[in-house]
Amino acid sequence: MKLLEFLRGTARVTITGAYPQSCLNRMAAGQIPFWDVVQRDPLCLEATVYRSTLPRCGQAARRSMCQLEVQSLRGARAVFYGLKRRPVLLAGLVLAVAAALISQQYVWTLEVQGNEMVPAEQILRTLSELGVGVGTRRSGIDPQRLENRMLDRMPALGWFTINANSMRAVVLVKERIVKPELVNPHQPTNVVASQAGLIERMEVYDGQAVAEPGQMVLPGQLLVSGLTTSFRATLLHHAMAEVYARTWRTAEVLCAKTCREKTYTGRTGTTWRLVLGNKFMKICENGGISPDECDKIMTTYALTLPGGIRLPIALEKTVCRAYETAEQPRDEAQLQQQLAQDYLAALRREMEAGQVRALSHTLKDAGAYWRWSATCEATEQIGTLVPILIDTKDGEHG
Amino acid sequence: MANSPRNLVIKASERLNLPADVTAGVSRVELTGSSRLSVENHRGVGAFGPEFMELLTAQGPIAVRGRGLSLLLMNQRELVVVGQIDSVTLPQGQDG
Repeated sequence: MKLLEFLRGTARVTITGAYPQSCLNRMAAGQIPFWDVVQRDPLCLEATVYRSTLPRCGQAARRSMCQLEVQSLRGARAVFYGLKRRPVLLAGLVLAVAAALISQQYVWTLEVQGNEMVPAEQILRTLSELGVGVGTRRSGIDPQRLENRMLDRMPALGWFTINANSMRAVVLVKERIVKPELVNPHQPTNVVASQAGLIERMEVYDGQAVAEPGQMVLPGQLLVSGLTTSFRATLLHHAMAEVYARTWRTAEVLCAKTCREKTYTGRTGTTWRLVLGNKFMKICENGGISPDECDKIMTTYALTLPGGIRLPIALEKTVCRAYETAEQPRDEAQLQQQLAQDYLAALRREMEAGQVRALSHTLKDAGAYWRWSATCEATEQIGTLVPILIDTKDGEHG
Repeated sequence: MANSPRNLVIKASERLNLPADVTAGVSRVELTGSSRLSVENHRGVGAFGPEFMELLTAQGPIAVRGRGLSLLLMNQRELVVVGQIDSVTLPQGQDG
């Protein structure tokens, strides 16, 4: 109804006279629609009529000895008449409508959903290499063809599709589930030592223990056998055991006595760039700082809609802090501590289970280098499974 | 007045269980709460004001008293008064 009123156009009129309600009666009798009648004062009423009925309203007013005045005009005609007098505004409106219609044909934001391990940036980068990104025409996106290419390029993905039904394209992925390494429980195996050590304790789940706590073992030495004999028969087992032993390791590292370190000069420069999709527009240059010898701190201010949708328009600020590099002698204590920390971290990654008990290390002068030597004592699991190879002619071999 | 042709038609309609507003052009007055009064088969507006309105019908004037009264809609068949309606006085002394 409001739309009809807008299209037909309405006028707010005042009816002034000695008896203005007679004009209303005449308009009603003449089938002139009017509404929202209020009294301004006893001699004046205000009403809304359709714009097209204004001449008939005027006639009714004259016949009722009243005066009809138009206060305001509303509706499509009034709006377009107003725009006609403002050509710049009209041009802007036309341009805005055209831009809205054209921009609907393109993808302006891309959102990745369903990824856990594979970074969204990697997926978007691969998509960009395949020609899909911000500014891509929606009709040019073929989800089926894109799926084949994406799965070919990204083996970590198990399923891929892209939903580009609006300016916001949603990339849906499912990551491939890596098949775990299966242990065959029927495969005959022995448990051997992965490295030399003094056995502290053993927990044998299957098989025959051939070593015991307190015994020193060498790498590859049999700890638990998968072969057992019972009533003249030899049985094959999938031997399993946890064997904890005290181990000793040594390490040696050579480090240069000096290294290049950076010193900030105090000079800074700021660069502002306008980011439009994949295009960059430099707004303000930095203060002549070489990009090779400065630290860059980049901050992006993206234009985001209230719903959280990020638009492909952003302002990027880059602050450069200039520095110089120079040869500096290394601090002995700091170097020793850093090497010890790195060595311990590497040991923990290497050990299957267990803990480091003691670490002793020294740093000695070796001419132009520092020689760092370490001895580490640990308690760790050294049992490892080795399959028993069976020779069908001669019997079996461990 | 009591034996006028209109009254005879009204009485006949009542006897025959026919709607008098259709057969005899009797006004149909509908009050919704205390904020909207609709009158069908009216003959115009006699007096118009925010506190008092007189609506003309074939049976006589209907007096509407209240506050902030205005005419929401009026055409040849129906008119609608809105506002805070305190009382409606019907013709022949029937109070609403």
